[in-house]
Amino acid sequence: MAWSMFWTLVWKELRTELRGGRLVASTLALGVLLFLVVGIALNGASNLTADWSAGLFWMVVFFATSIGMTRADVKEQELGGSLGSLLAPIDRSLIFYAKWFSTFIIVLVSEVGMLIAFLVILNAPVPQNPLHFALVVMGGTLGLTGIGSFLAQLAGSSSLRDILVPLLLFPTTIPLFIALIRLTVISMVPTVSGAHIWVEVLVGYLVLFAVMPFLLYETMMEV
Amino acid sequence: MLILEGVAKEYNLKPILEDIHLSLEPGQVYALTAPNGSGKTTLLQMMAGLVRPTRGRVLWDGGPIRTTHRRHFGVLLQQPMLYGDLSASENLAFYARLYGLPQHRQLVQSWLEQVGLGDTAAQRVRSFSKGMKQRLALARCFIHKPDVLLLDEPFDGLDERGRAILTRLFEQRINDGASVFLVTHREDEVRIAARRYTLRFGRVTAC
Amino acid sequence: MGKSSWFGVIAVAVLGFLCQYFALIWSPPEKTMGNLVRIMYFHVGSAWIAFLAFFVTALFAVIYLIRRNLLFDRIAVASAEIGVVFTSFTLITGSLWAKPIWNTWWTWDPRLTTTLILWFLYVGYLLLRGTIEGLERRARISGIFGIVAFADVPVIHFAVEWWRSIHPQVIDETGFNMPGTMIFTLMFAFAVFFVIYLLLLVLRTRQETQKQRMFLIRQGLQELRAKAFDDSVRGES
Repeated sequence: MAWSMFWTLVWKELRTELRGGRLVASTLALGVLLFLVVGIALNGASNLTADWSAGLFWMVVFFATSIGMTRADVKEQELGGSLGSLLAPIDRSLIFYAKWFSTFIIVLVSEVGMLIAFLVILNAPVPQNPLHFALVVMGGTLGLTGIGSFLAQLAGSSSLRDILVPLLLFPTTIPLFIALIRLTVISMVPTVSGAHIWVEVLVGYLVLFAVMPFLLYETMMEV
Repeated sequence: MLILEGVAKEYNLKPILEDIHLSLEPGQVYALTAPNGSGKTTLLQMMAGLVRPTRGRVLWDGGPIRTTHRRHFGVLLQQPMLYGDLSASENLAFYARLYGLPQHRQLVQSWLEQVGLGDTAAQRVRSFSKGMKQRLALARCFIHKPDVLLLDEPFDGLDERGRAILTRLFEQRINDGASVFLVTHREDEVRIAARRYTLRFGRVTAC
Repeated sequence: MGKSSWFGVIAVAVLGFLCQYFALIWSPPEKTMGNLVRIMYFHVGSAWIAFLAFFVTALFAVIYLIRRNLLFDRIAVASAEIGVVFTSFTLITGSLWAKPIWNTWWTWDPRLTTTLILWFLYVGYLLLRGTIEGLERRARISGIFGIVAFADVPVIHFAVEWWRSIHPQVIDETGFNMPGTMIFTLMFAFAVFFVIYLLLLVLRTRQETQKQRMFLIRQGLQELRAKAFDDSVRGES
């Protein structure tokens, strides 16, 4: 039962995005632009070490996503749709998880484009272990969109919202950021060791930020 | 049965609602008249479980309102509570599924026809006129056959046709034993109510 | 300030002088660092207090969300503000200490890095809080962030620690053996900082309470004015 409600909510979010939500387009455009700017800032460097390029990749993804995150909820407040969902006989944390999942899908789609820009513009090394790399990207995006959606809702009533979301998101996601960079480096250069520690950090972080909204979301959505 | 037990709400530590006792019995119509800015919307939202009272309790069948109890409520606020990017039928289907209603396809179709939106079912709600949005909001509010109706100025913004539809839906629900709580300022609506209340300075008094 | 606060301030002043004496004169210099070690008493003291302050913020945020009494919210924010101040002290003294010893103002030492992240987290908390309308909503939202931020602290700590230990160690951070006099001084400094923290917490919370009272008075005044205006309009017509 809960699953069908969850998919209903996800369907609504994705349908809204397809009908001109433009989160994919704006995040992707911003991401590619940032790669261009970084390339210029590095004076068109042609070969970066795996450490650097992994760091730059995640920095751009985090930045583009955190900016895009703040725009998502404006539309559903326009006609009061979000209140309608809150009235429904479903656990309210389900609304959060659906928002998380749909944002995850949307950001994942735009990341494909960003990844191409990353490989082409920055001339980054192609990961030697593509499967690991794909898993890292998915895990990272899951963590980033989870805490991002949560903070975007949290800062929703702040008058400084557009600046605050990145400002709160970056310090809270530092562990995730470090783990992702290390794991990305490992997927690019498999000889680097220590993957298990970073997988632990990544999983621990995901668990922490998957459980906390369940406890806090109802409180957050009170008026 | 919905009961409010000494409910109060503060904003910025200033009381908006104070010590409100109400109980809504099945098959009864209650009308509340209130000036603008008196906290009537807050009261309705609190009864619907959207706003947490600062003090007091809102009870359903003698206990606190649980998630599953929300299916007994039909709420109509000033906002239509719809998604502008979804079409009329998608909006209704969305709510029908959230309320776990069976065979929602036929249900949605019949409701769209009942509120006179059968021809525009595939259009996005954003392009609707105010009257059309309100009629769709009626369908959204009544689709799950609620036992308690919480309506904020329901006849406002409705066209002639919408009013006729609402009156009909209304009578159906009352005959089925639902209780209706109506916030209004119109004399003709107050007249249909068995019990009348006013909300002034945060307090509800019978009249 | 009341009588008890003055007593607190005087007590802090006396204890503070004692602490200076222990830290600067009585405790011995360290073998390799010499007199430079003396900054440790302030550095470590403020770091511990900062951490304690953020814990208090999270604790009172939880209590607020359960009890919904705005007093707990005021304690939470007072503690967060003091925490940010002590975090700043930690960063500044850390930087001053690092310069002569490691010949750099900033190193990617795990604890230093964690402290800087903490600083940003709680500056974010204060900014979030300062830009939300409505006392109850502000308390609720910032409380949730206070809990989330504190839950994140251990994760940040371990992630940064592992990140640095896997990298080649540029700086050898050997723990030095402290003689008893140094340990005593450190503990004494911590105790003094703790008393300062408590005093600031009481004063800041009280100030916040007064601010709220002022806000309510102003609100009441506005209402009276509006009512007087209404009456005068009614009188004219």
